[in-house]
Amino acid sequence: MKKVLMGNHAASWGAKLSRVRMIAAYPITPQTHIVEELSEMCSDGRLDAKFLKVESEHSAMASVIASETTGVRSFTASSSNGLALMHEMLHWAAGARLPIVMVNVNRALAPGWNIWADQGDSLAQRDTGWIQIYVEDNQEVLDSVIQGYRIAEQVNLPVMVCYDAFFLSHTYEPVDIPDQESVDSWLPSFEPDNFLDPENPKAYYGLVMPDNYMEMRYRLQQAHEAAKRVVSEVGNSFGNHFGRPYDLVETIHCDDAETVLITSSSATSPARLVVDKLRDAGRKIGLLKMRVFRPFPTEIVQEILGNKKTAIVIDRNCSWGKGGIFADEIKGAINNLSNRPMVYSFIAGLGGRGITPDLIEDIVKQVENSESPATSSEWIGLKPFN
Amino acid sequence: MTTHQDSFTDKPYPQEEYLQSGYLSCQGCGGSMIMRHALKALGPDTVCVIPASCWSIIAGNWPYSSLNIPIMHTAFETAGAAASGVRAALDLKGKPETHVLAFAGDGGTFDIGLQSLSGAAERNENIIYICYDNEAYMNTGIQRSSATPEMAWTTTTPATFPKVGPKKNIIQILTGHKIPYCATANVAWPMDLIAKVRRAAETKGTTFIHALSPCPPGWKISSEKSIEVARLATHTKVFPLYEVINGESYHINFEPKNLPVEAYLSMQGRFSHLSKADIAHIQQRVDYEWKILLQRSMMEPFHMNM
Amino acid sequence: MSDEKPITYHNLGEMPEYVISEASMLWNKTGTWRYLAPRYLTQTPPCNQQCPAGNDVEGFIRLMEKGAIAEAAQLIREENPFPAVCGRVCYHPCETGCNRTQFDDPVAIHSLERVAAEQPFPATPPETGRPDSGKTVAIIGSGPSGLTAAYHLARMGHQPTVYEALDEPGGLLRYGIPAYRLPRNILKAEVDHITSCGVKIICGKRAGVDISWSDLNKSDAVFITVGVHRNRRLEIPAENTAGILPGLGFLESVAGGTPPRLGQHVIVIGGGNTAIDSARCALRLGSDVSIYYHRSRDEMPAFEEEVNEALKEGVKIHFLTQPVQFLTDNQHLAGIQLRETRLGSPDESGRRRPEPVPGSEFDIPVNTIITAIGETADLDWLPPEISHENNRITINLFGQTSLEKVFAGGDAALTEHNVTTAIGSGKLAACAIDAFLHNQDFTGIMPRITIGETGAVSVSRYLNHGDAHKKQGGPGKVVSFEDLNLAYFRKSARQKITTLDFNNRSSSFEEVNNGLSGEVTVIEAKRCFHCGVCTDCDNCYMFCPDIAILKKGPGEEGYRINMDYCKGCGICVNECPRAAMIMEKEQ
Ligand SMILES: Cc1cc2nc3c(=O)[nH]c(=O)nc-3n(C[C@H](O)[C@H](O)[C@H](O)COP(=O)(O)OP(=O)(O)OC[C@H]3O[C@@H](n4cnc5c(N)ncnc54)[C@H](O)[C@@H]3O)c2cc1C
Ligand SMILES: Cc1ncc(C[n+]2csc(CCOP(=O)(O)OP(=O)(O)O)c2C)c(N)n1
Ligand code: SF4
Ligand code: SF4
Ligand code: SF4
Ligand SMILES: [Mg+2]
Repeated sequence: MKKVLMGNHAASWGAKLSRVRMIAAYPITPQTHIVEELSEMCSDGRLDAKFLKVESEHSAMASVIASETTGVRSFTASSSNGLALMHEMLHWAAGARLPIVMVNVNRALAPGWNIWADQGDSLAQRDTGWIQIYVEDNQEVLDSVIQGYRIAEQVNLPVMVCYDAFFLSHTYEPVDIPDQESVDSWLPSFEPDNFLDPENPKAYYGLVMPDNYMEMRYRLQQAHEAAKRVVSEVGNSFGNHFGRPYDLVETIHCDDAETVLITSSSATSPARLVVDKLRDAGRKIGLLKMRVFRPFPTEIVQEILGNKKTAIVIDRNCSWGKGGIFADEIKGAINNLSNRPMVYSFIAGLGGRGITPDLIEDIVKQVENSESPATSSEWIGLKPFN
Repeated sequence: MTTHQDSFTDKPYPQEEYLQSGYLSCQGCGGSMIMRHALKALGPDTVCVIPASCWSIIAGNWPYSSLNIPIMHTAFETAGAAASGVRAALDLKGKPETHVLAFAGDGGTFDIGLQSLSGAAERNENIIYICYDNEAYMNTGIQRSSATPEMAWTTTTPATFPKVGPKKNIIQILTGHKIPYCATANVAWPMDLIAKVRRAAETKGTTFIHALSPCPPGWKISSEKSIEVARLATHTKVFPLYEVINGESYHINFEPKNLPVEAYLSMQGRFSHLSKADIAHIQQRVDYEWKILLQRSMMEPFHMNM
Repeated sequence: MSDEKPITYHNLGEMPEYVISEASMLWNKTGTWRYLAPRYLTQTPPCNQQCPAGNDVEGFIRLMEKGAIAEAAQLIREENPFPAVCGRVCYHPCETGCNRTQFDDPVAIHSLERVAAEQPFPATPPETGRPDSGKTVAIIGSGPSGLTAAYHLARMGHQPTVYEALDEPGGLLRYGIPAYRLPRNILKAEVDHITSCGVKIICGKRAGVDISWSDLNKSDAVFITVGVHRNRRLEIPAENTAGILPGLGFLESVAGGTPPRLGQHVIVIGGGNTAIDSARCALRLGSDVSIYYHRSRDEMPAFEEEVNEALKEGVKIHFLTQPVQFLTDNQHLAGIQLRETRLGSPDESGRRRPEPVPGSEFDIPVNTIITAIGETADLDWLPPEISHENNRITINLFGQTSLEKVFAGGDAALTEHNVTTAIGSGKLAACAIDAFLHNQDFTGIMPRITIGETGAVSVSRYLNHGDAHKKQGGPGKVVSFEDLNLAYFRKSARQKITTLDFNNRSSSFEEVNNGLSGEVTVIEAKRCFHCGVCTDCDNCYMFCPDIAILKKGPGEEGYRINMDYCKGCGICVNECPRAAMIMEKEQ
């Protein structure tokens, strides 16, 4: 069934089709439609789930951790300050190895109050142990939520599906909504081995002494390593079943490219146009869409960039005091290669400012005209000084 | 023969144990007693949620647990929310009869966890919330909480500048939520505590029990005095035993002996710096609060069943 | 997973991946944290120590509280064959010692004892497990001391024979204490029970007169308990005039059913039990009675309760007056001359000595006077090898006289003259004689069987049979009021006994005191704190923060401390209401 949906409703549909049983969420612009729609679905019976109207995001995450621990597939959604408030519990969810799926609508953090697109909120949660998927359009939102459960429940890690405020959240696009039966036949029901059960009393998440803690964490890291393969497999399987395959990254014209443009989330769409245009103009340029940020697809990035001359990374985020986060991660990934491209890092579109094809073209031009990258990320689209 | 103290329920102490020895509480810990009594009242069909507190340690380190019921350790401020999540999931799994017990310290209840507790109480989640109140953050080494009594010493309220302001009245906060059942309890009256936990379990909706829990190192008492000091807390009216139904109707369960607060304070090292004037001030406050409680209970002050 | 050992993971593969615990903490033996250890210790209740008869007071109250009255009676009879007697005439030092006294009122121990004694006698005396020894013991005197010794010696397998000078057994219980305080049938039932236990009593045989010392000496051991029966004389003019009656003789004739004729007004001289009982008897025979006593009320040796009853019944007591001479008229008693006294310095008994007030003499006309200023023992018939001093047979700590096989007790050998002390001395003699007959050194035994620090001996502990010995408190210290945890006790008034209406007293020898009625017995018994003795109240079990106190298996009483986990906090000991636990250094 095709429907024109805003990104937020695509997320709600993804949760509904995944047959989540427990939803705990707290409203924050630009995520509100997700929870409104889900509470609608719960109350009119379209979704057999409990919507727990908690008093904060911290409690939202605490209670989905609890419901997942009790063996029930759970969902939540947040954004920006809400996500930041959850931070402690994000660690808890991953450390507890719970296959929670949450949607985060990427929004700038206050102050000053800004409700528009910015990846700073979720990238700040980089080290919490969550799988992070940055999606480009509303179809991918829906598809990634469903895939998210299959990935999460296979590797016992929580999954965060991230997309840009307004550019996706509030933008209507045609979305193919799969049949429930079709989803049911692809996404197994949630049957965890361990759950809070008076018949089989166990204690969850207690004190771990230094003699075991490190091994525990090693297993968490291993789970992330394994998740790379699982994400690919699940994306592939999803493609076979629903006709839309996914992977850790997407590459466009990269094979023979000398320059690779690297984007994530909604910024990828204008980049596609720019790359097509420059290819038509005979330039050896390709596009790498970073879909999964955690686990970081180091091997794939190395493979794609290994013999390239130039990499251009556009970040809608900034790690204060350092620079574009994707750029930094990519530099880290290829650092040990003997043949590696120059990496140019650009910061653009913070707080909802547009990343337009023109802006991207300007960036490419600027790179072509420079001898080597600046030591720090360059800010694009700033008002001129004078 | 039983000689439980003047308790309004003189039933035999249940023998089934849901806690097993080997746990890591200090000598004379009131918190471990409260857990033991509470679980006896609730029985095996119970899931327990424990936020950061002494009990995070007492229960035992991975891969061990001293409880024979399932427990979930959770973050310090999340007892209310986590219990709500477990409740929701159990209900979804068709287990509405399984008890969900949130077992939190005073810090996790009065302070950092107050918000999530308030959320749960406002939604009237079907959970039992027991706050074992040892009147400070004991796990982290005796720092003051908003449950610390006025003028008490803690490591963050030194004797030269002891705790300012009275102890927060948590029952008043909870009754403000109009939950069906609130009660105070005291380790010195285990049968009363058990009766209250049972009553809480039988009540649908959020039930809250505020249980005084002496802490020998934190209160600077020797361990054998743990129960004795708790008993004095009630007999001096510092910690009256009462229940509140639907946030409205107060029932005092026990007529205190009305001993001077000095009897209670002087037993504890954490009050050793108090002057006569300080003690008189505390006495005044206690008398005043008791009067309020009497008025609320609309009960004859000297109804005795002794 | 094993509960006993901590789990160590040596390789990643065997280690669970998640922070989920399934093993118990039982391996963590928190007992190692302890530096003092609790222990259950039965300590001595003060009542037990204070009872000169060595009753297991706490023990029988515990049974009565559960309604096990027959068992209570049996428990008393393991120590004392005279609960019905003691329940009536004992002046109950146990109650004086009762810890409850400092809380509200002492437990009405002796009233409870009396209720217990109302139970029908069991077919057999309390079991001792002793075979017949074939040894004979001659006992001279059938007072409480002699009969008690006989009773226990019979239980111990020996053959006691009691020789009694008078017509019926019982000593002063029969011929001294009047029936309105100790009804005859009550005494008879207990004496009969003693005989049914294998005691032979031969009445009408006065040692030294009807049976010779050498005959008595043929027995394997001898116990002399002849009491004090000779009336002490005033040694004033005209003491032999008719109408002047010796107190004890008067009581004996009343008890024998042949009371003398008395005048309308009777004067009694003296301040002891004999004086009071003589006065109350005379009152019941229809006379007005006045007692004259040479000291003040405080010095009166008679039991206070009896003095009070006498006063209430109408006996007048005049203090600080002493007789000067009897007045006669034509060989007949016409009256008595008395004079006032005042109290001077204390005599050897510690009481202040009365001194005559010169010129204070006055006469009272009267034709019956009863003199009751005390009794002395008749020891003239004893062989010279048995030494005596100050009219008392000389005995060592455990009742042995200067002759190895001869023991003595009761009033004839002790300074304290009362029924319960006499019973205690009979028990001590029985144990010492038994040890002697078995060639055992009693000096080593005595401390083990002494109740508390200064109490009587316990026959059940001596016999060490069954578990009776456990019930008599431990050899440990006596529990003081300060040792108790009063939080667990509520105030409750002592139950009152009812007494015979005063209108009925002047004409009859009907019993004055009634016992406790059925319903209130249990209420009264429940007042007992059970000082030093565990009652399975569950406090230790319930308050142990570490579940280190376990109830013993089904059918067993009491608790066990699991030292593997006891952290030594001391709460169990502190919260034990009755000091039945202690904290101590571990060996
Ligand atoms: C009037 C009175 C009232 C009393 N009231 C109380 C009371 O209320 N409570 C209390 O505790 N105490 C009371 N007493 C004291 C108490 O009765 C005695 O202390 C107690 O009876 C002493 O017991 P006993 O066995 O040593 O001697 P006794 O009871 O005196 O018995 C000695 C027996 O030995 C016999 N006997 C003496 N010589 C010979 C002999 N040569 N051969 C054979 N038999 C002999 C006597 O006839 C007597 O039967 C009272 C005493 C009197 C006199
Ligand atoms: C968010 C957070 N802040 C602080 C802590 C540190 N912490 C752990 S337990 C505790 C005190 C607990 O006090 P209380 O709830 O009274 O329980 P108690 O230890 O006294 O039993 C603190 C401050 C924490 N675990 N989490
Ligand atoms: S510090 Fe206090 S509350 Fe914590 S375990 Fe020790 S005694 Fe119990
Ligand atoms: S309270 Fe009971 S055990 Fe204690 S002294 Fe009195 S009678 Fe004896
Ligand atoms: S209460 Fe328990 S832990 Fe404490 S001393 Fe007694 S047995 Fe040991
Ligand atoms: Mg605390």
